[in-house]
Amino acid sequence: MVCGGRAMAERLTSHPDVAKVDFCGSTLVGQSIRKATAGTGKGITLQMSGKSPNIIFEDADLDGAIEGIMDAIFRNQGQICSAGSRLLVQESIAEKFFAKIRRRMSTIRISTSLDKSIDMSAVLAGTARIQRLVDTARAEGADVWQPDIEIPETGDFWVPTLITNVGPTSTVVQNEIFGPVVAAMTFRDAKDAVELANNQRYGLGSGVWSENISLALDVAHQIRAGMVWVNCYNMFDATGPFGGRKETGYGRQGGQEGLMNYVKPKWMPFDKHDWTERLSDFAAALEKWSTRQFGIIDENDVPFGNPALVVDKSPKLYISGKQVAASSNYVYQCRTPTGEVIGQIAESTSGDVAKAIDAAHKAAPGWAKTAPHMRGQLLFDMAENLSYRVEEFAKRIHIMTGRTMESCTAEVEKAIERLFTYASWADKWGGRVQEVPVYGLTVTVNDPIGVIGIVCPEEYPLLGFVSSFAPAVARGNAVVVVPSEAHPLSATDMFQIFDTTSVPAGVINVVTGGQAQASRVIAAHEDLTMIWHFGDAESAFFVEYLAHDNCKRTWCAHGVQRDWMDNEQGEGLEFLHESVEYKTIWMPAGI
Amino acid sequence: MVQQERNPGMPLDMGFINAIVVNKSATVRRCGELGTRRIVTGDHQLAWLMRAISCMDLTTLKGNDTPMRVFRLCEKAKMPVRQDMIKKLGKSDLTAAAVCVYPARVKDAVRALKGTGIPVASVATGFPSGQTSLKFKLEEIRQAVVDGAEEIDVVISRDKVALAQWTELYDEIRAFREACGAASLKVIMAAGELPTLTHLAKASMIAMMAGADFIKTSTGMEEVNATFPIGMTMVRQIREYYELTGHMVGFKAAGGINDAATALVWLSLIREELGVEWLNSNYFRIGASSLINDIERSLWVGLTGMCAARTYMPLA
Repeated sequence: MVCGGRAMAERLTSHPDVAKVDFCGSTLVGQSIRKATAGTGKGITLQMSGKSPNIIFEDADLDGAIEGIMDAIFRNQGQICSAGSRLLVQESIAEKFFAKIRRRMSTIRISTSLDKSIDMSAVLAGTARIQRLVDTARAEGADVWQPDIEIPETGDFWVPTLITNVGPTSTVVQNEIFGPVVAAMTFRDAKDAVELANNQRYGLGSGVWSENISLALDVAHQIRAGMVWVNCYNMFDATGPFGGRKETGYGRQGGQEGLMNYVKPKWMPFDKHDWTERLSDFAAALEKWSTRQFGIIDENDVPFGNPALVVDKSPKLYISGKQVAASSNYVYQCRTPTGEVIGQIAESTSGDVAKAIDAAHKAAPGWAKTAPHMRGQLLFDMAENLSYRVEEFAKRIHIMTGRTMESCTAEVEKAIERLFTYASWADKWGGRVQEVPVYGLTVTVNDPIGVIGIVCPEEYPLLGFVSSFAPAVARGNAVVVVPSEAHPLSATDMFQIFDTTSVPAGVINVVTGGQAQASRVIAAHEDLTMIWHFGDAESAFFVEYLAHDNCKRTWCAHGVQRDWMDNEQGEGLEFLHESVEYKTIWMPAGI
Repeated sequence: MVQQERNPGMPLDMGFINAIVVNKSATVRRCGELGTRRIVTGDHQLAWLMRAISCMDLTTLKGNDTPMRVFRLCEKAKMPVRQDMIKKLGKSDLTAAAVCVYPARVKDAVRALKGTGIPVASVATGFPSGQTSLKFKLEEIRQAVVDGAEEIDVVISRDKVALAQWTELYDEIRAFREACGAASLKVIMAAGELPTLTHLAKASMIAMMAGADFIKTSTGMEEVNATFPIGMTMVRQIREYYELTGHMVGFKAAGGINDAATALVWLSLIREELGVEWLNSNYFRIGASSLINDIERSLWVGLTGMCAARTYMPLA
């Protein structure tokens, strides 16, 4: 066991003999660890800051809820990442509830940890930061209330603090304080409460207090966090996964879900990479990786020999269910192995990629709410529609790659089979009941992530494409997909299949072009929380590095190529795991 | 709202009104090129976006508005852009122009904005339809002013426009102006419910003759609200009135302005058709609610080059 601050953390985590990092601490330090380990191939779990709300509905057991607030923000001095440092109270009971809190806060006993009759003890790392934030609250016009209770004369003690008369704009509502200070707002109804609860950078926990099961479950489903405690708070057990999303981080601790972060598929080699030289001038390296010359047309280009077999293709992008032209006029050539040109491929700009991400965001909520069975039906339908055109799709792959028709036909048939597989998984991987020591029901729900940016492998132009979007879409995500750079025509041929299958607009978006450029945009986009990258190790470095900015979750191949034809490598648990965010809902019960 | 000299109005001049005529297709063509001929980028765009914020009437007009909801909006009016961004932009005194609410919520807004200098605007006169008696309309205005509203957004009787009852329309607005007293009068044309742009132009001129301090495009609840042809038509009448009388009347666009790019085109329209003197909160307002979120995200892109997450900007 070693001690040290941020510098030690960076040193330890970037050591070549360290294969996995599990970090719990502030978002700031977590981001620096992400940068230091980018592209190395190490597993990384980050559990960082939070600003979790405790939500009190008018039909809650109010006194029970008061004790929940004690658990959430006062015991432990509020110095835990999952602290319920915001309080959302239904307007109809607000006055009564705040009076109850003040009465309860007045009975809190604070002393040194050796005193056997205490509720709260000293805070870690001094009170200066807490003081600063509370002063800021006052300066911004908030009401700051503290009970008149004794604290020891020496030592770092802070009187429990209730801040009211604040809105989402207040500094103390947006930022983690990490002390026994709670910022309270009111709300009208469940819709308001959910909107307020999700209006934050972080996504760690939430408390929901209501005796109405329909209401509690509805709200629990809509909160974008890793933990939801119904009529309780800060319950933990090794059997149940713990962790958050958004800028709280990714990965879970505990449960089988947490174990997934410590294992890798048996067949997968574990290559380590070292990119320290790139770090010395990151900006220049980034430019070199992601910039390329547009629009070089070679006059000596040889057109494809047999026009009867293929018409020269100039596919567009596929955004929001429509084929749209890229906003730049630049294209690059898609060629056969002997160099003949068979297509002009649009170079997507950062604007095109951003537009596709926006389209996916619009579609994501509706798709996530679509009945899982119906999502499955759509993928079955898609497989059917593809099955009518096996020969055509095989021929396309054959012309692009030069592989035998037998091999190409096998690829297309495998793609159809894969669509069937994920159609079947659409409604059979909903989550798990966790056998925790608390009586009631604790369940981990496998929620869609929302929008996933996917950069496809170069190998297997159709199968790689299908194997990439199908698991994500089956599990309720909307996707922005960058197909193979060298062989994108199989993916662009799929636009017609999407149309015929009536894929809801925006659920699948495809942007062609240089993978490095598109990867850069996706990896840096702050309104995206997950990127899959099936490319080379150097690209993985840049993607993981850029992802540090908004603590974006990443799944990178680091140059490991898969045999997509082999079910062990091309589909299954790995893909499903990366398609979801685990939300664990604790519901103690008893009459 | 501070105005240099208030529009006193003038007697109704039907000769002037009868001569007003608008060619729709020419208007539409001119509007089509607005977003293409004046592109603002870089630091200038940041400044324009902040100017747009300073001209915003942050609005909530919902049946389920409560004191708490109004409080939250007022907090946003006081701090429209997140603290760290405002620091980078160096504009710590930036606020919205006003908060706009229903009459029942005026007191809540006044209480929440106390000491900030940000005025409360109240809708009145049977907003949004105006289908109630003149007696009640005037009483509603008076009560809102007593409750502390410094600005009143009234609706005209669209039936009078449809039936070309121009004198009655003039008289009605004149009465509204008297009931306002010292409070500033914004007259809502509800342009989406008027037969033609020519009708809109005539009604706009009549409103100004009757003493409007601002003319406003719409309630935000018509099927069609603040489009550029509607705005262009009204703004041209403001210019005509200025040339006729020397008095500046303000313009407010409300409803359907959802993104920063559109807001920038509105600023450009005002600048081109009326001039820089109109491009401040004394003479130009945008009535909006979710627009502030998009402008805030655009400021973030301008400051950092990054596309921000929607949930990162504090709710209005």
